[in-house]
Amino acid sequence: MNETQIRERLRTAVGEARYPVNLSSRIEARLKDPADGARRSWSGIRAPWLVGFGRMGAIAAMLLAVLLIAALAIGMHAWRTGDLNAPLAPAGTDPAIRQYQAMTVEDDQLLADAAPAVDTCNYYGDPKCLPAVAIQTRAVQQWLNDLNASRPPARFAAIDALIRGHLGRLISVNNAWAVAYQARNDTAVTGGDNEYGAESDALETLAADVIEASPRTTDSYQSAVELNRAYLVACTKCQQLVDQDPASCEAQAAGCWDEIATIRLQLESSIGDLVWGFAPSRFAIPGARLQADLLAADQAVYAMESALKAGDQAGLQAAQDLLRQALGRVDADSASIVRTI
Amino acid sequence: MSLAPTMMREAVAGDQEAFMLLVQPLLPVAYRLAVGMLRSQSAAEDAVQEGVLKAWRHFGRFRRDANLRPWLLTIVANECRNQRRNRWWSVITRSEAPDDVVDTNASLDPASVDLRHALHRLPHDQRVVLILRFYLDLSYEEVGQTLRISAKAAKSRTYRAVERLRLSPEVIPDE
Repeated sequence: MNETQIRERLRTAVGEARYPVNLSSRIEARLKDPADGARRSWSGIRAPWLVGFGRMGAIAAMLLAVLLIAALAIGMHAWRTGDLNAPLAPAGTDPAIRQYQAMTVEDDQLLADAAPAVDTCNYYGDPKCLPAVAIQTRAVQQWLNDLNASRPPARFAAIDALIRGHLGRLISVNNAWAVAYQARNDTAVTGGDNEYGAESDALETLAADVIEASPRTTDSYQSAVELNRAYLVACTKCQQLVDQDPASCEAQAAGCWDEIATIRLQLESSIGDLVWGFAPSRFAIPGARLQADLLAADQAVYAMESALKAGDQAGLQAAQDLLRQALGRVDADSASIVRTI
Repeated sequence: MSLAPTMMREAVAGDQEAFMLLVQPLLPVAYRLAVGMLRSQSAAEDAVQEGVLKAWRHFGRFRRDANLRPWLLTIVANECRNQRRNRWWSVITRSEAPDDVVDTNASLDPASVDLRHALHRLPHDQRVVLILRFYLDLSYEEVGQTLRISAKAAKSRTYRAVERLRLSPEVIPDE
């Protein structure tokens, strides 16, 4: 597919954007509003609802605002821990699912908030650098702790395992990065940055799949399963990894890293896609089986990677066999879902 | 003689009308960016409004010789990121739809619906590069300026994003 074709497909998918006729006038109106249009820091702006009240009135209003915020925070906490789930949840919603989604929102946000400090870490010896990485690692560990303290709803079982894997690797990457930074090892620092980017990208995507998960129609689910199967079949590098002699991975200068990265992307994208738009109830059981087999394939790929790193030829062969079997099951699971009338 | 340097001076000095005259021609492209990045038009409108207000508040720091378009697009793109991160509502308001849920993208063919879903599943940095390059038709140079990376890095990020979107980027020609 060339650039023109990609452009056409993307434009069709996103659709045309007609600029709203009154948007400019709304922006102008907001600019003229002193609350919005004042060009100074927010801390210097007196809240407009306090103007006209005396000092005591302002303090009372501020106290009221603090109390409201505290009440909201307590409410959020109680909701997250489940106390308020039953009354808040709309009819037909499983509280365990909403609780898991809410936990993912919070942990994903915590990690996102920790990232900017590390982004400004640009030179060796910056005293803010290692503490910022430590804060980020704590955010990752918090997410892992939350997952360990909860049991995922069946719908999220496979993606939960993927998220745990990425979180664990993120901690290792951060620890290795800190060591490389202290040693001023440019190559390892850059490698760590790249690995961190890949892991956090994967996490952000998987978190979005959980948070935005909603049911598909039967037709849409069958199409999605068929499409994901087609991606795997059409993935040349995936087939190479499954078919080639494992010894050739070690013989190649670049090993089989590219093939491993490609098949992992395909498998994780499939799991994420089938969570983001999950199976309608009639496909709940075969859908869960398909996800479990996709996860087994993903784990076999990780086992291949570990064996390759360790130079363990027998382990590599065994993991490749597991991968082949898991992909066979994925194919059969997909076919049975697609064929169901 | 171009009026832009005069308007720029006035806008930097705090003239709102001059600022609006400068950004007005850029608003449609900023809105287009927001529509590509977000799921709804109302969210896109919010992102553009907030982005322009932030641009105004920080306009005193804008370098007069810099290019205004990538500067504004950077701010709007960041605003889109903030909008997406504000996810409490998506969880609180979501309820289970029945099996026969009607797809809001019913007018699109299934492949386009899937592509749109896949686009929204990309991390922000990869989604924005695709939207800037393929939906806004920016050059890699301008994509790089907007994202504050080199044109080469913009191109390689685009390649990775296309691959992740599973559009098989066999050919991404040099410019």
